[in-house]
Amino acid sequence: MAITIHFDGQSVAVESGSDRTVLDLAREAGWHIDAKCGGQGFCASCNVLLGEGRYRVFDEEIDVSPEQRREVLSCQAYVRGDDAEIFLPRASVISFDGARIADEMDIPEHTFNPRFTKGYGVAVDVGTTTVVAALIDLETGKVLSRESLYNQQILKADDVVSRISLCSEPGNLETLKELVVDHTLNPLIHKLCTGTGIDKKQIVHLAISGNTVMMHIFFGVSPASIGVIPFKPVSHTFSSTAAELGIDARSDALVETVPAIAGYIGGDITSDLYVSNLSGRLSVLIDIGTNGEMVACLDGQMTACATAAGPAFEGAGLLHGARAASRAIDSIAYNETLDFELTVIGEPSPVGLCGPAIIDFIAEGFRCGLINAMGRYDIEMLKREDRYESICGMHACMLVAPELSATGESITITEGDVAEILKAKAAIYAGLKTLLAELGKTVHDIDHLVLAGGFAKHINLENAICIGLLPDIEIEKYDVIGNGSLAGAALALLDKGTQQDYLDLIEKPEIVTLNQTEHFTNYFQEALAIPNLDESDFLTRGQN
Amino acid sequence: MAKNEALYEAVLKGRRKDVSTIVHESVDAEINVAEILMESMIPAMAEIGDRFSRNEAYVPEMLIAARAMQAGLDILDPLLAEAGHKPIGKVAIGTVKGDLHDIGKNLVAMMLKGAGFDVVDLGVDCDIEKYREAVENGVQVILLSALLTTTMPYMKEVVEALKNSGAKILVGGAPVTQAYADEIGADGYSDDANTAVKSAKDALGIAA
Ligand code: B12
Ligand code: FES
Repeated sequence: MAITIHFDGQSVAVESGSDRTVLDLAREAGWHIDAKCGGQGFCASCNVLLGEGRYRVFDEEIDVSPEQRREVLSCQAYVRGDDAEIFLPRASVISFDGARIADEMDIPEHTFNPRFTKGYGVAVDVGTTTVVAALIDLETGKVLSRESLYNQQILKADDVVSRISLCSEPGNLETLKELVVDHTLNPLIHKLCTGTGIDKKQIVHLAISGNTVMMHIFFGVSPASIGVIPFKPVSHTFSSTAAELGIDARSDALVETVPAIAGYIGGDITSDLYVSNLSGRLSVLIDIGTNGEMVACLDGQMTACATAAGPAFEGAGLLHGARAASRAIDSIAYNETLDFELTVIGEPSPVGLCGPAIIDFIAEGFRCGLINAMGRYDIEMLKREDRYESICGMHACMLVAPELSATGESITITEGDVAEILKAKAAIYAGLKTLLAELGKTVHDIDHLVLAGGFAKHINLENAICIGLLPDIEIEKYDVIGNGSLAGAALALLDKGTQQDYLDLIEKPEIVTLNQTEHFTNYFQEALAIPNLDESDFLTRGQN
Repeated sequence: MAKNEALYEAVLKGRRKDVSTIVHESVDAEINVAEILMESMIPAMAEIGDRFSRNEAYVPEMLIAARAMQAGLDILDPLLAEAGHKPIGKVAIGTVKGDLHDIGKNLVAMMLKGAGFDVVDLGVDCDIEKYREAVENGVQVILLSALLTTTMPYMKEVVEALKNSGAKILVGGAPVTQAYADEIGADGYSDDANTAVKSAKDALGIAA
């Protein structure tokens, strides 16, 4: 025997090495285990099944017999000895197939006056999860091609704060930088260039837009100060050359960031704000994502905050949550007969469900009485329609029967999952309400609400309003923009005046520290109910 | 009066306004304040806590119930102090330096109050000195809360600084685990507000 790793019908043997975790061994075998917390042992996204062998897990030595596999956190498990059998469950392995990445962009009208008038430019949106790049001909201003990839840093940790924590250990900052530059951006540039027949050496300008932590790491600067009060970045802007950073382009190509507003309100939001063309007296921009950044603008006066919704909308922390990629359920419709009509990305049989689908699920459930205002199921209804399951002591609704799923197990939504989503949506809605309260306004005063971020394109707005994630205002007041961060980076290449506009723009918003406001906690608690305990907020859509 | 069913239900369901109204009425009717608290409100919080342990209630419901409980306590607290109500122990709770999340911490504080502890709330962004001061003021258990992976390591510093102070130290918050608590040498850990009460009682050797 040797150390053998099994996944999806395949088996790969790897060398032992008692100093390496099972998670690392699986990577060596070619499978990327999801390590949302960066291998710190508290997210349980990295679960694997240990077969016959001797192991050390946390500080305990364990023997596993062939009949009794043990489920453990792979980031905390080591193989002792030379023989082991390790089985990877599908839910723990990141698939890079068919990821749905927001790469469409609408570049608003602008003057064409690039800083470099010859050669090519690359606009890049560096997201925590995905990176999108566009190749632009600087002579004509044309966008020639767009490509996207997962930010390879997700192999190390999922959210920005976990990446900040990683950077506190020596060597990790460099590793994370390599993952985003050498293993993400360079392959993207390669694809852009081979697809268009352009020589990399003709790339003379790169504009990078992304959250503040991503920008620090990209430029090799420690983001540690953003991790603790007062969350200050080392710098709001960075610039360097391709050669310095190891980017495949002409060695002296200029690499510049879109300036950041604050530690948790980055250049991606500056870009969104610039391209979103906020109109009306009171307008708001919201990025519905892990950080939940938002900016409100009243007659030119701006306030901004980050609401820290967490990654639940990306499927993290949910029993059968999945990223918006191949085999993820992405929409759900039903009524009290609980005959679920599902759509799945790519392949027909699903592995789990992504954010937009769980919003649909809660909204439809609330409408038909399956889910009450506290996010609890009508157990009778579940049992009557043969949808009831009990998982780890939690009531759950079976969405997909075992024989119809790709995992061979049923796909379910537990009451705990619903509670996770309620926390995330409460953070966003409470952030919005607080921001407006600081301006002396309420959600009903909003004239224009722009939604940014990859997630926004795919949610059903009526459903998002129904669960109380978004305010109950006329649908015409909503606007959903494509990848504003990418468009903002492109503008920086196309018009040299933009950079100064950005520098002026980042001075405008007054940052609201939510926990120091009088109302946030109260609004958050009210928003934990569906749609909200403050019924006056949801008069048109709040009835079930 | 024994248990006031309406008040019990109002706390359980998180109906804040009803709680205020009923508590006011009861006070006006000169019902013993300790009785209002002990017979109706605390059992409601205990019930919510038990349901939480049985996975029959989740954080949103607990927070909403705690908010209603607080509305009642706001009225009762000064009256209880007057009546010389005796706590079962004195504890202090605070979110560690660098961190400002306090919703979970406040919920733990509420459950501890509900269980009869005198709870000193140290607020957020607490450095070692703040905790030390609390110990000097007679606190028997210190509870540390952290919600950020970047601030969690500070718990270790606090534990080291205060390990010979005589006070027990309990840790908690979303990223904290039992394994981490053991590693830094904390006296206890729990992953929710309900079991936090049990840990605090265990630390002081009070029967559950
Ligand atoms: C509300 C919230 C906020 C509020 C906090 C308001 C307040 N007054 O506390 C605000 C918006 C201010 C905030 C800010 C930040 N937040 Co925040 N926040 C959250 C959120 C949405 C909920 C946390 C919460 O209150 N949960 C409910 C309570 C009841 O649960 P709990 O705290 O875990 O407590 C329970 C147990 O842990 C336990 N417990 C707690 N303490 C203790 C102590 C002891 C001794 C014991 C025994 C038990 C115990 O009992 C409690 C009850 O069961 C989470 C995401 C999520 N969906 O969970 C992010 C989250 C915690 N925040 C996060 C971050 C990063 C931040 C920011 C630093 C950055 C940002 N993205 O905005 C900022 C700071 C910026 C700034 N300048 O303000 C991250 C942390 C990630 C990480 N890896 O560490 C999270 C996970 C979201 C995310 N993934 O991005 N946040
Ligand atoms: S628990 Fe292993 S990566 Fe999070």
